Amino acid sequence: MLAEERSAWSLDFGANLRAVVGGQHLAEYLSKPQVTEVPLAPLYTLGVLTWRERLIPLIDLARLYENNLNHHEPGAQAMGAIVLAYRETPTGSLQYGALALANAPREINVRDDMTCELPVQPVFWSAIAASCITYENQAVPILRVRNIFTQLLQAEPNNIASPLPARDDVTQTILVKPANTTECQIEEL
Amino acid sequence: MSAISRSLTSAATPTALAGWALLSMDGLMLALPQKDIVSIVLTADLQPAPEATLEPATGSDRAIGWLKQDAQYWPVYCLDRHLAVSTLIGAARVLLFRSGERILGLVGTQVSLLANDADIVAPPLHACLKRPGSPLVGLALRNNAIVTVINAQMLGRYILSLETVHAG
Repeated sequence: MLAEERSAWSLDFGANLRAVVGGQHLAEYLSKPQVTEVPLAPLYTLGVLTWRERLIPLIDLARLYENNLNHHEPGAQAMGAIVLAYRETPTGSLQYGALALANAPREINVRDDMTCELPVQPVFWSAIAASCITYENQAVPILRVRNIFTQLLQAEPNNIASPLPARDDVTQTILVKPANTTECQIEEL
Repeated sequence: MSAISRSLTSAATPTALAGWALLSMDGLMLALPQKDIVSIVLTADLQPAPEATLEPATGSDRAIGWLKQDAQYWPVYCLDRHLAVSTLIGAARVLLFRSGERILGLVGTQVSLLANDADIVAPPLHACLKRPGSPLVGLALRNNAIVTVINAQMLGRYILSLETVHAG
């Protein structure tokens, strides 16, 4: 019996960083998004896009990985963005966020027998990945989309997006460990 | 102090006011609740640091000027589009706002008032857009422009935290 195949999208963030999202998450690919910076946002959040009369955040995971301010300038010509849909709770309304991409997304098929261990690095995979597959000889996380936009992400142990001046009410970055699984989990919307 | 479009005395009941004050500054449009606004004045009314005989508000060495309100001088700041302390360039208006027990001023090129709370509808800010300590509470689209909704009390704390960093 053939393993069940499911539709997904392969995302290339640049910096040799790739991930996959379930096909149902993709709302639109924007080749040249207009980005508006948001003051005091984390360094890996490039700003917001005005999309279908909404303001949605645009996150650059490569910048989070490299923690390099010069990796992408907001609105750079080479940058595209994929708009993703998610729900914070199973019965909640649809929410949207966007990820900066170095190249256009590619549609792929994934199967349970492609499942592999999640890479230890970068550490933020453990907060935003539902599972991991081997694709083109590389371990590629499958993203739990809601986790990308609903928490502050941590770059590396000594490479954290700089907080504002120290205060008493600093919130802790939440790291969510994905359950050990042999299935390539793709969220339902 | 020559109040322009509107002057809201500190004796007014804060909760009685609805709507928003919009302050344009360095490409940003900030929205603060009108209930937190004390007055709107011209930058020409700014004064140098008060004399020692007058009790100044504490910790305000990054202020660009001072305004007298309720027999006390309060610091006025200029922020850029990143909400970093900046120098006074082209700003014509000062928005005096209440933050807890303090009054602080923020300069901008233009101030306008919206009468109703419903004039700005901002969904809660995504967590990925807000670092701890940020006074931003929402973003809204108004006439194709992005409005940054600010909590006045948190803005006051944030500005004072800049003073602390500067002093440290």
